[in-house]
Amino acid sequence: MTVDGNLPEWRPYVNYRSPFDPCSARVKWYDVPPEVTHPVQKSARKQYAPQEALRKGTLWPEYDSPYPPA
Amino acid sequence: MRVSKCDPRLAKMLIEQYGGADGELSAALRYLNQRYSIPDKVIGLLTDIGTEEFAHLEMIATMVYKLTKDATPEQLREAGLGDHYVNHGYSLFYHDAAGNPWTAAYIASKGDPIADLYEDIAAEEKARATYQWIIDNTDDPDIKDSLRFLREREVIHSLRFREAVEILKEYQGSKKVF
Repeated sequence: MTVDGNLPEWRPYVNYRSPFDPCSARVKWYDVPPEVTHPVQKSARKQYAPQEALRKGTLWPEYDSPYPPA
Repeated sequence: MRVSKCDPRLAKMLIEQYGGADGELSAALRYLNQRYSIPDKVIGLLTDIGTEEFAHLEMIATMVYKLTKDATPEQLREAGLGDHYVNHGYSLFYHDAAGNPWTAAYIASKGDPIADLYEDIAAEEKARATYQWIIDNTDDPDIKDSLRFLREREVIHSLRFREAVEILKEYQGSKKVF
């Protein structure tokens, strides 16, 4: 299995349901953020402009993880 | 810090990141304490991130203060902050969203560099998740902006702790820019 660069950051899952569950079924999502899929930074990556980086909280688009997901 | 609406209910949730187990105070003290016994190569990282966490603590404090400072005691009571008001008035206090006071037991330090760094990675991921759950609970665009920024910082801190593990494994073949 390769590093999952192509899988989406947010992955859906469904819990087991019994016939008597009181609430209606709902798909849940869990985050596999970029630092988990790419735990070591490569050199010469793209950078945001300084002002944009300050707003976003990261200089690196590769590690930008918006919430809620787009 | 911009806050666009009076919402003491949100302050009650935000306090989790002030005095909670995975909050900014815990983070700052955890890293600034561990740096004495960690290998030299990663001391600077712990100093850097620990100091940044104190800045984040101030951001959370300012948000909580602005959300509560003009609320009436009745509004605080309706927001579930009646107990807080009786004990602390309008002041902030280091406790979590459920009212448990902050404790040094939240500060993990085992003196084993790998164990400590993995603890730090876990702490960052927990803080990231906490910010998600708080963002889910507000529609204030200014607060959301700040919380998204803080959540992204957790992502980057986790990344840098993961890299610190790699440095200690001495596994990095080529020169990298941090």
